[in-house]
Amino acid sequence: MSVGTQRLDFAEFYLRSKDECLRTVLISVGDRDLAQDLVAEAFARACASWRTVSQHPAPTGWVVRTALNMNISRWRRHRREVPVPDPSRIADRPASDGAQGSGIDPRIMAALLRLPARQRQVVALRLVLDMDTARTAELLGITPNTVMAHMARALAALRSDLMPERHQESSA
Amino acid sequence: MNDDELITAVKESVTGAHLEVPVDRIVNRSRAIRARRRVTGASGALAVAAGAALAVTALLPGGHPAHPQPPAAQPAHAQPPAAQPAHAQLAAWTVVKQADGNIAVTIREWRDPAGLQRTLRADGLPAVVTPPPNPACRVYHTSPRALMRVVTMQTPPWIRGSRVVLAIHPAALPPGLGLSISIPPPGTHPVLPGQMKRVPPGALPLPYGLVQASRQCTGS
Repeated sequence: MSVGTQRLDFAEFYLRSKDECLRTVLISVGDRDLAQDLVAEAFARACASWRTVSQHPAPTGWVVRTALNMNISRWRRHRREVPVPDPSRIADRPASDGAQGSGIDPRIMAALLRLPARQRQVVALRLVLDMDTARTAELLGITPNTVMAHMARALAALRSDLMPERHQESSA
Repeated sequence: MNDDELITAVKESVTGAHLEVPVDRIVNRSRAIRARRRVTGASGALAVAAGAALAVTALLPGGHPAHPQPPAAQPAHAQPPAAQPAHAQLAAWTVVKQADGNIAVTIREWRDPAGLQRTLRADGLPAVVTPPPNPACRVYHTSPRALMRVVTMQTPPWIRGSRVVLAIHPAALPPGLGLSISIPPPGTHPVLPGQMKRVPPGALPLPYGLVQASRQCTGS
């Protein structure tokens, strides 16, 4: 594969998958700016090793995994907690602000941020990247049964978190 | 709300998030990553060679190590080389010009800055290595991202302690500009552009930047 073909190949992959990778990492880390930096750097690394990454069974999963690993490395380097937005502050914003400003539903994002990190990762990979259980398990280094358990608990928590508000909306 | 509605709601909650970085910027960054890998590989080979023997220059023809420590700095009880224990005296700094024109500079101690400046200039890089401020130089203000195209710090001092490896890409140096490496005054902890807030004690701070090239400042 020539360099020019490789570059076109990568550009096509980037344009096709950049948004869904960003959304996956956004749900996992909870900070839009940080997610953008992580995903952009992960794509740059994918481009630098494109000959290898293009042969990967799930290149988008490779990018997401790389971005999440970089977030862990960043945390280790700084030796402090990774700042995660306060869910209550996000939830307090008016819905229109989220829709028009960032394009993110603040109430659902706040509910997602209340989940444990691993459950958020499972939700992001399963729902945003549409990965099956086996691929998600492989990417996160856990068993398929654990993935299913995390997914079930996450959906239950989200339902109980979001249901009252939805109910109030419909009754109002 | 059943599971399908919930899943749809979660999916739609982030559909407004888009990555706005152009693909060209990603590709440019990937080139820097590849260059860094090459320099890191060369630096690793250099470190192995330096640790194994004193003859770094013999192993790396393009390398220019700093002068060894002056005789006064040697232990008074120094014995002939054949009787010395098997530990190597590393050079204070090493400059390696690679086949692709990039230059790897490893700095371990702040000794012989004039020699480092002379070596960098001999490798074709308009450079000045002095304590700040240098009245003969005019600083060229640029963004951290633009500076990273010319110089990248491979081993930040706050991570690796007292060894710094700079990867310099002379081809990326804009015309009329040169590289300035400033020797920090003892005991100060300068802030590097966009890189760190503070330097842990014992680390080797290393401010660097771009300056307007001139005969008085960078020698050309």
